[in-house]
Amino acid sequence: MDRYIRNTKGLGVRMPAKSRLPRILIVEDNDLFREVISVALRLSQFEVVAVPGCVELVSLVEEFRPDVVVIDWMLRSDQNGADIGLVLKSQFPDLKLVLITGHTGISDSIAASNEAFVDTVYKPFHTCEFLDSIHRAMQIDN
Amino acid sequence: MISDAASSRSSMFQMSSEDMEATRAQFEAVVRDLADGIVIVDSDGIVRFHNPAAEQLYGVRAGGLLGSFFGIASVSSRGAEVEILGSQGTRRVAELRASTVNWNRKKCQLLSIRDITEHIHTKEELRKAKQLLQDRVSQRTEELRATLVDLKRETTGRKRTEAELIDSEERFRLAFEHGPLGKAIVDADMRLLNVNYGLQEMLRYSTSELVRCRLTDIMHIDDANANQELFEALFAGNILQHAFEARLLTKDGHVVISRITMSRAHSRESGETIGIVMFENITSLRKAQEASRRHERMVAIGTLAAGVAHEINNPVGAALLAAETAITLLPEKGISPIVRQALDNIVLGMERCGQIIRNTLRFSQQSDCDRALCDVNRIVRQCRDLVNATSERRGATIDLHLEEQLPPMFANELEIQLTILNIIQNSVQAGDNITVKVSTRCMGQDVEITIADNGPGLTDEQRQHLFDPFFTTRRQEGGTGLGLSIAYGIVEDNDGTIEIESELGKGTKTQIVLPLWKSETDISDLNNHGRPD
Repeated sequence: MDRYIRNTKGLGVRMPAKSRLPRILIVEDNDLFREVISVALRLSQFEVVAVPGCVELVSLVEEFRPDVVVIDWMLRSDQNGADIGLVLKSQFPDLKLVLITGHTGISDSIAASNEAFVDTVYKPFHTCEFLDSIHRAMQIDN
Repeated sequence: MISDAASSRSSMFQMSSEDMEATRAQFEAVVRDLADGIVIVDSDGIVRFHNPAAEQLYGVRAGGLLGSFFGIASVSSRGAEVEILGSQGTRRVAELRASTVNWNRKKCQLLSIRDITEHIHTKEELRKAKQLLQDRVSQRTEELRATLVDLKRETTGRKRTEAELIDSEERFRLAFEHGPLGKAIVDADMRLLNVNYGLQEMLRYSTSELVRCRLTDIMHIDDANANQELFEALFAGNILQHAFEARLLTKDGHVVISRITMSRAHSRESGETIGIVMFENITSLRKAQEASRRHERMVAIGTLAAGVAHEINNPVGAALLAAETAITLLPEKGISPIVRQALDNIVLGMERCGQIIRNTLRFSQQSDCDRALCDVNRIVRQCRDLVNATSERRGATIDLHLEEQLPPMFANELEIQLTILNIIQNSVQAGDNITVKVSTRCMGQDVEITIADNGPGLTDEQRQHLFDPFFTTRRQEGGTGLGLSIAYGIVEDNDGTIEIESELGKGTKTQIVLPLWKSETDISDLNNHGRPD
């Protein structure tokens, strides 16, 4: 299972070995959730890098070249998933972004209407629900 | 003088001395006894003859007047009243008549003097008495007139008082009959004796329908029972007044919340004790307070729920994914089915947790904000799409019969969506292979949304508890029982109605009627918000 082979460019993130598997970058501040979702994705044949959100994401995306970035809406730091999404989308227009959130309020509807994201998945979600969302995101052509 | 008298006497008696003698004696007797004074005065004014009555009148001795100067009386034959000053200083009043006679061949004056002193005196007395009488009469008349004036004044005063009383009664009657307060007079049995327009208006009954009816009959039974002892205490005189709130039932079946104040009075006419009752309609006040309380509660629950949701969704989400990962990794053989079952139960439990959190959040997020013009048909289509996953899984079919050109509705779109979604979900999950028909149509100023299914329907007991929070028929499948209570709350907040008809084995039909505009203020709200995109 352990495909982490090296630290890159001092980001403190272990990159997986190069492979043909689709790559997912996860930005999630909750350690437990980040851990579990990473395992679930890897089991489903994805290459995964998961960070709590406090890293240089632009450099990380440049290095890792993910197919889909999954971002949590409310991060522990004062960062906001929707804003991060907008920044990434402006830098990498082809990048597919999926929002995950533990809220179901009106603010989430606003986040969901954020054009940077192709989909929103509400926690708690089933593995299959989440995988559906990832697959849909990957199938979208720009 | 004597010789003259004797010579005239002898000449008179010349014709028949005897006859003459007899006549003279008769004449003398007549003259002597005559009550009136007789005086004969010659042309020089000298007395030639007088009788005893004249002597008495003048208070002189017999024959005392003869030869004295009397003067010529210039009185008419009709007589005149004269005052006679007697020699003894007596004053007499007499009536003097004069006539001309031949006395001893000389033309003389015969004066007849009648003493009328007594007569005058009597007359005077009579006059005085008459005057006295007149005085008395006029005095009495004056007294009577004064009394009459007093009486008149009193009568006028009384009339004025009466008019004032009528005016005042009229004012009291007006004060009772009109005004925004409902007013009534009840007897000790709480029967309405009089009711005013305010009460008729409030309860939608006419006077004839209300009078003789018991106040407690139009009151909610719980409120009537709760206050019964106090009504009795009031009529028994143990308390002065009783103020309370009660739900009153109007003729058209609505409930009016009223603040009622009752006091006791004694009727002067009949002597019976009556109750004076004032009704103030505080329905809108209570509704506003209720709405405000509900809003505060929702905000409080919302804040709490949002905090809880934020904290709990991550661990719950993690547990769900972890359990599913474990299930994926289970080897085909060599594992106890209990392990698989346990992992499945974790998944079910976590799923249910998620649903409860979501519903609690939605339940708390009902608010008046974010109202805008929305297309009900579009909302219905969205709802169908949202339940698509479930309906496919349960083999349900959702047919839409939407009226084209449905006017837009001014409401909170999320709320309306949540309402319709909850009901469609209920229908879809009522059983397998259910057909749900959703239709919309415009009815004047309202939009009617009907959701009908051919599911198993509801029992009477289920129907009674439909709108109770946390009542669910699908607890095993993870129902939270909040869906319909949320829908009910939203519909009521929008001044709409929601009705559910259901028959066991035939299906359930839910009819929601929502006004296009919640109230007049919506128009100004709309102007402030502007039309949505």
